[in-house]
Amino acid sequence: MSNLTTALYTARTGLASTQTLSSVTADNIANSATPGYVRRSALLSSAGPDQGGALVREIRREVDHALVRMSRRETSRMARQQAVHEGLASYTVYLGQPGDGISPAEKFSAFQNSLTTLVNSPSSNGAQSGAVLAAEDLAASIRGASETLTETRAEVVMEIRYEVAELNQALYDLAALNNSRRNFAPGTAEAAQFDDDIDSLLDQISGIADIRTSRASDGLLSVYTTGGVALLEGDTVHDVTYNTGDGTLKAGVNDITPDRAGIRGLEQGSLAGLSELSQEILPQFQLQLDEYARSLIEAFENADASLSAGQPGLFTDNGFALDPNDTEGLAARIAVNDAVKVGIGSEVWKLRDGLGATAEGEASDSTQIQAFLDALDAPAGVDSATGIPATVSIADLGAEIVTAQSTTRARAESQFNAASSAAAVVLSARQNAEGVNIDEEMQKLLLIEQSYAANSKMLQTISEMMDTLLAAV
Amino acid sequence: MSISSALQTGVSGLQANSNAVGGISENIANANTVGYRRGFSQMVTTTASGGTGTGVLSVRSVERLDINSAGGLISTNSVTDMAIGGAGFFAVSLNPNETIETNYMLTRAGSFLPDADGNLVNTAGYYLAGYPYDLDGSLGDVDRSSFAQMETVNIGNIGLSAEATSTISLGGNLPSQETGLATPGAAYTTSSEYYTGLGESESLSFAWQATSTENQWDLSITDNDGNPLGSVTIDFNDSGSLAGSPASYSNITSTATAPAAFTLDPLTGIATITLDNGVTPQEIQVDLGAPDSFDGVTQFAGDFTQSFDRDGSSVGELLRIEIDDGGTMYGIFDNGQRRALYEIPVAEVANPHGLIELKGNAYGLSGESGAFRAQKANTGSVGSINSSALEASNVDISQEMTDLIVAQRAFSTNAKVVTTVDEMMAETTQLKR
Repeated sequence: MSNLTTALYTARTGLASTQTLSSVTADNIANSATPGYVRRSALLSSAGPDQGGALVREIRREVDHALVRMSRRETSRMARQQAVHEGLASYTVYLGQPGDGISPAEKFSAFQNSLTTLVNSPSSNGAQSGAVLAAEDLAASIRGASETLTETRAEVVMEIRYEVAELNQALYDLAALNNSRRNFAPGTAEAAQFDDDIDSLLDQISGIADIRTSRASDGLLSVYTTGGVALLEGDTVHDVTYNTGDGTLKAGVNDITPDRAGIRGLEQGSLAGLSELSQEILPQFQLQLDEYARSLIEAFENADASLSAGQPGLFTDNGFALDPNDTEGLAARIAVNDAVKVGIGSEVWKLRDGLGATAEGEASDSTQIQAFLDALDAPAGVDSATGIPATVSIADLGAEIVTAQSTTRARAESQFNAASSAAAVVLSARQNAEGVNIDEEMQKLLLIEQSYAANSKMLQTISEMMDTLLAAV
Repeated sequence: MSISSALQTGVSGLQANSNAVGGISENIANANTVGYRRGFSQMVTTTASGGTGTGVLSVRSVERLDINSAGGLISTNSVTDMAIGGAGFFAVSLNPNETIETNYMLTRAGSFLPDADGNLVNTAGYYLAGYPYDLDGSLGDVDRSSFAQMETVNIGNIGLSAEATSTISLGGNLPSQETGLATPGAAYTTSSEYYTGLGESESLSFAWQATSTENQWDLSITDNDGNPLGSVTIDFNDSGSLAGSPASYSNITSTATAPAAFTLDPLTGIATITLDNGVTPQEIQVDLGAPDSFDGVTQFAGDFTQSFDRDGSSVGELLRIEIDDGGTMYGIFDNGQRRALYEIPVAEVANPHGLIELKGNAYGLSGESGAFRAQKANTGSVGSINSSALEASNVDISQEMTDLIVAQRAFSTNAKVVTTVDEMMAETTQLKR
């Protein structure tokens, strides 16, 4: 039945639905710069037979799920490389580069030069002191590098703890949102708001670990690692834990440690990058420095004919002779023998006659110094785990280490740059698909305005018709 | 026809039209009453004499109800506001869970809200009647021709007890590129939570190990405490239209310790797992997908993706309700369950014009209204139930106004007849001096 009264109701539903439309548009415009906000649109439908008017059926978030998945994957990839790159940045700045005058490699060539000077003027007290000072510089530079490396390792472990805490927090927040979202029917403005929050959290999590999500028939979201381990099932969170001792990461009872043989651990995300740093890259760097320190101490002990067994050479392990079974952390302990310390009453001549000499020898005898110099050209025989060939001589080892470590960082940087530009491309595609286009909203607003005006005109006209009728009675 | 009968006829006209105006005023007064049905007067002639055509034709008005035409729909924000789109009525009762059948009525006024006890009651104070669903979600056989099996719809004290998980369906993909390698990679370990009879959440672990044979996987399942339950080897089709679907299940081995058990039907791909977590062990059917079908686990080159769909739940509280077109009221619980609570029937009678008007715009059954039947909404001739909407009255002001003009004119004309006859009679009495 259609009559004046139903026309009145119809116009009213028109007003109500344009009001909803305008509030959706207002929401879109107000949130055009809000991160994580996804454009909404209101879907209208006619009311049905016998009933005039338009109803708002659903408020829909314009999400492109494929793009979202791709963007999360790229974010995870980028986050991994970023963690490696940033973790190494401060250390490699300290380490310097071959040729910049501050790296251990440079200190070593200064030391080698001072020995060469000493070979030509073995009697010169100045040359002797110069060589000892250069040796101290070298030892200090190796110790400094090792110290910075230790700090970096501590920072990385701390960073992993932070990231794990953040991941757990995000998972619990997600579980809570998962529950609250059910209070609202799908297709309402409230549910859309919850979906925005859930998506933001998932984006945040994908920066920490590579994840996959699935939604069960009861509407609950579950989060798994790409290896299949559950992190969140409905409202059950499988806490992620980190064991500082062996670097094991676990979700509930399942091992998710990255790059571990025998399990499908995390592959991407900042946790994978940090774990690679703490379990592989930094230990290798440490080993390289330790091997450098070991080969220096060993070479000067072996080349020194004046030493008796167990007596320390020019370079010492904190004042003692080298213990081949205890080379771990040696780089932090390398020091120049106190016997040749420059100062009042110091016996720098021992550099010429051997650290074990008890009395000053002939002033022009450069045999021992020559032996030291020759020893530096011998292969260092470093551990293969350092990734440096055993045939590299001690003289070249410093430069080799500095180069190897800088290359690792440079590779991480270039990989990070590649990953971040890939991520940026996908992200901007996602923003284009999900974001708010102000022009479009303005154009919608014009239509809404017209529609509202037309509906109110209807009301006015109907009211005038009623007035006419009333006047007729 | 005599002059005095002309007076009588005029008076009957006055009476009939004032009745009509009375009806119009009722309609206008109720123009905004939810679910109101307009009444209207129809004029019929009356005569004292027989059918010879010589009798006097007076008039009287007969009240009729315009019950068939629908009112406009007003949308509201309350889910329990309902409007019937189409023919039919809500069944309501005078008291909650009324046992006296005569206290049941029909109405179109669907502005229901829960009272203090959670019973849905409309603004006129009538309680909504419906057929309750049992816990299994079935309605059973209900007698739709009487009010006997109806109950007052109550959304106050509905809780949901915990329900043990009995089925878990697996879906998703296994990466085919991982199979057939001389040294296959590590197993993919994933888990699904399930609910025990007490509503506790525990999980089953599934370890998918690629084998060195192409398109073959070993699946081993462990319980919540890490104890092995059983394993099975699954071969997948590698070509043809069924490529990617499971081809066969073999090497079905139970490694469970009694009373726990593991069996798998190779024809359906459904594993039956018995878990030793109570006096009566819990049995869960894990559906891996039938051979040569794509409804379970598949194997294509790609990523490892696996998801689970399970039943069962922890203890739940009612969060909100939903009412569908068919009049089924669902409860949404905070543990994620959705359960049918009541069916709200739409009643129809053979002759709606025979219904008796009662207060609170309800209608009572009468001998004239004919047989009553409570149908499922949106079936047969009855309309659908629209939630979050109310039906406005079907009064049209413009029509009432025009009717009023007509009645007024008729009334004044009749009055004119009476005054004229009066004057004529006065003339008659003055004939004799």
